[in-house]
Amino acid sequence: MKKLFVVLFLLCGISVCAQIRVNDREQDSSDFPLCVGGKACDIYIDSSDFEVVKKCLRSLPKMWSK
Amino acid sequence: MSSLFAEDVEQVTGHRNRVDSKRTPEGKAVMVIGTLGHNRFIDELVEQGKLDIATIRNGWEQYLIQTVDNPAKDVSRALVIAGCDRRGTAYGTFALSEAIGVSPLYWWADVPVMQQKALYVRALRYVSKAPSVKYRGIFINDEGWGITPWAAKTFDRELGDIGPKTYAKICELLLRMKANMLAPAMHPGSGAFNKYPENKIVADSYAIVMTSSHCEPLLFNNVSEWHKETMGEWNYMTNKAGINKQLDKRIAENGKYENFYTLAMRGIHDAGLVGVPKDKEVSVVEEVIKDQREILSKHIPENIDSIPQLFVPYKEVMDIYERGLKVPEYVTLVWPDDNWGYMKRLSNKEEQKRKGEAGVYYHISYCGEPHDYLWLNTTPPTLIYEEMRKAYDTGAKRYWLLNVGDIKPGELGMKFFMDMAWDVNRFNMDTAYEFNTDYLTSIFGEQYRNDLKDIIDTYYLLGFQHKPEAMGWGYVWNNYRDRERVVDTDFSFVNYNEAESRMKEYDRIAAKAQKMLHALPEAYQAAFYELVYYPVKGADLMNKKMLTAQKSRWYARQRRAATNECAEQAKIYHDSLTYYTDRYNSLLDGKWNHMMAVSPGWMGEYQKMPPVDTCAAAQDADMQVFIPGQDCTVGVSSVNVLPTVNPYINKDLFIELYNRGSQSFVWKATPKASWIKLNKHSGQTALQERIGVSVDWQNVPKGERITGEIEITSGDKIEKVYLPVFNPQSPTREELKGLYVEDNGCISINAGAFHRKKEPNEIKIRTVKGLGYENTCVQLGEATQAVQEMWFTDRTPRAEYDFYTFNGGRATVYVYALPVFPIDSKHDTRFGIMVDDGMVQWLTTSAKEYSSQWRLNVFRNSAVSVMTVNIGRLGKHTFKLLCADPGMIIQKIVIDFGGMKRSYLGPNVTRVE
Repeated sequence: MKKLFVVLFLLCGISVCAQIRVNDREQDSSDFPLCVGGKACDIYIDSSDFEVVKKCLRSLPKMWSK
Repeated sequence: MSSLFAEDVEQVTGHRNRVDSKRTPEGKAVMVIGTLGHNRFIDELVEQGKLDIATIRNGWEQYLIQTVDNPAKDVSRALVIAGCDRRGTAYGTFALSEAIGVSPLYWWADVPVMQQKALYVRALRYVSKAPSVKYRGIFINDEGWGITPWAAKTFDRELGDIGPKTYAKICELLLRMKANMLAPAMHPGSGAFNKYPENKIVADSYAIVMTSSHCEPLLFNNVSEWHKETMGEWNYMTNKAGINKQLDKRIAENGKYENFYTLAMRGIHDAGLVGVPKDKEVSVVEEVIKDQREILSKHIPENIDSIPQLFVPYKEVMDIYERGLKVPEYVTLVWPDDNWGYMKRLSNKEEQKRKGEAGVYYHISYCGEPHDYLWLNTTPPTLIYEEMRKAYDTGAKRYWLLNVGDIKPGELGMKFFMDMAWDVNRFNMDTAYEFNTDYLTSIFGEQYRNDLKDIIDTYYLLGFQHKPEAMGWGYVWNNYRDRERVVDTDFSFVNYNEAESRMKEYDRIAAKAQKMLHALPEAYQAAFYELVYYPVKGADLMNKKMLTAQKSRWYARQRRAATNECAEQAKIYHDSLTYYTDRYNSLLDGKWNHMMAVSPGWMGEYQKMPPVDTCAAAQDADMQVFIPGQDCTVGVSSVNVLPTVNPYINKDLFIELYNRGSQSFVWKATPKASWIKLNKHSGQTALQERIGVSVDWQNVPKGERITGEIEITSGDKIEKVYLPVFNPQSPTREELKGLYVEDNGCISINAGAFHRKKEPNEIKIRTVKGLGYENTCVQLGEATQAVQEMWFTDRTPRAEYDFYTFNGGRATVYVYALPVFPIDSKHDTRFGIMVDDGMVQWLTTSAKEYSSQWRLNVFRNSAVSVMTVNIGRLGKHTFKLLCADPGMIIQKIVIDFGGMKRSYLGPNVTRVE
């Protein structure tokens, strides 16, 4: 049981301290495709969020790619 | 921020994300960026148990980045960036930006973005820790020679001032560096921050907390917002109502934004308190604090103690505070450094219990006594680390403000300061030392690591020894006629090859930097020029200008024919500085035009052409001999004697022949002993020439008083040069290997290279790299530890150095320490010295700010203690450095039996290698 707690504790530590890793190719099927095949993924924000999160949306028409 | 992120992705990949604010995302893979409680989609993920935000809920500026599978009906995977508050969301977004290759300095230092065709984020759950320091930011100051003219004439010509457009860029930079606070420009040449109402709106739109400097109460800039004609005198004794009226107005306008309020009353700008009798200063400042808190209460609907407020005991205010000023419990005490990077004091045990905690106000740029340093950043990261760490450890965790001048070229110092404020435990002395190398390598490539390390370490070493702005060697701001008078530096052209070694080191790193500049791809050249090349080349040229001008004056006194050439060379260095500065300002089609000036400050003269001397050469050739080590010969000596050589310490000896005439002379040099080796034996010399002198140790006779002779002839003139040799039967070089040894009457010890240490009581005796005249120091414990045993000295922690002498009796000991202050009234700056088991002598380096000793200490980044010791017998001994007040950092030790020569840095280290 004690060992299980230790393992769980370590796993918890790994998840909290993991680094943000970005690659230019898919290394695992669970990798998240930020930009692939000439298309960057869509970003969703909430219009009621803070200005700091959305402030640049004022120029949204220029950025709209569709 | 999300759109800035989209721009970042576009910079990397050439493709921009579509930013949408619809309630429900659609698509195979989407990114969701939002703040807890302000993004319905994220809140739903939390409610559904798909996103665990327990670790950031109710946090401060924390964020998590996590991939979530099947987060919604039409979405197979989402990458979620969720912030616990508005800055947390921004930091999370920029953390991902940095991970995809967009540097926080991509715009401000033109760090290129590496292009990628595709970007995949490893499936992860990353949860940021709360920042080590709650409020972290910069103070733009003394901006009249950099950022304000650049903003007015280049970046925001429409406004013609530093205003919303510039502040937007600054706020973005702060967020990318995970900073959260700004003290805006406040000099008379800049429009006051609140002159333009949009400024505060811009800052708020970037979620930046506004604060103000130590002399700007309640965000009010009395330099340009106080108008005597309509508002009366800035004098709290006579015009309290008038002053408070303006402060009230300010808080009525700005109180709804996030601010950290300075409670203060000093004079206009950086002047002292006006019109208050000494015995009333404490009560008046207490009244000021009370009144200003009432103004805050009037306009801000929060409990007064939950409104961020600070008090800075800066300059004369420290004295008022020490005389018993009562600062309310919830007000943050912000401790200032002495403007030169040394914290004047920190919270004592009682102050550490304060609810308002503490903070720091630190400088890497300064306008004031004893000299301005507004041009280049030369504060080593190890010094910043050492000072900030002890501040943090004594409770300065709430507010860190860095006076960064014009931001450029202080980027590296600012980045280190903010990284440390974000995660103080990421660093230790060693990683702080490597920070610049690691950071620059991450930009310019691993293949340049060694070159970058050499360039940047040497740059900071030489700059620590003496700041380039202070190479004119005069003080400023210390009397009414306080323009700097440029004089000779203490760097010696005669002894220890000191001045020339300094110029050679600058030459070497500038050449290496130039080679690297040319080798780098074009896209990297602007960043390299701004971050590395210009500071290195600028410091190189400034040093060579000043030292070559000094040389011309020295040559003129000797009536050397080379004097004029030397003066011309100094002028070339001076002009080159203008050229390289202009080049900086014309980078990237003038993006930084007017940002860089070599002449900031009002009182310094270092930016001008220093005085040089010229000399009319005599008609006929006239050979003269200069011997290193002979400071003055006129009226002192009639013989030419080289420094003594011994088999223990290698020396580059030379004889310099120089001409006083305009015709060249023919000369011949003849050693009178076979063991004397010359690298040339004859020649024809127009101006001057050096003859290298060495010794063939296989053939030198044994003895303690061997004298070699070299005869130099030119026409009828004969000069004899004597070479004293100390070559005793014993000890041999092998026997002394590793020891410090007496050489020419003195022993010079690199304090960082000790032979052994004793570490009782959990005190650590550490070598500190990247600090001190020899680039390593010894730190005697941590400043926050208790005072050590000074009575039973066998229990005292210590560093020990073995040395060997050929003389004995009384010797003068010079100890070069870092000029740190005691951290509180319970500590001092004491350390002990003893030789073998002799008498212990306790020393202290404390010097009150603005005392003559303090000026000298900060001017040379060293507090030199001088005392005498008795060394009874010849032979091997041990020098002991004892720790009394932990945290003392010792750079160098010299034991002088009478042979020490005049110089700035002291003799070169005499360790037998």
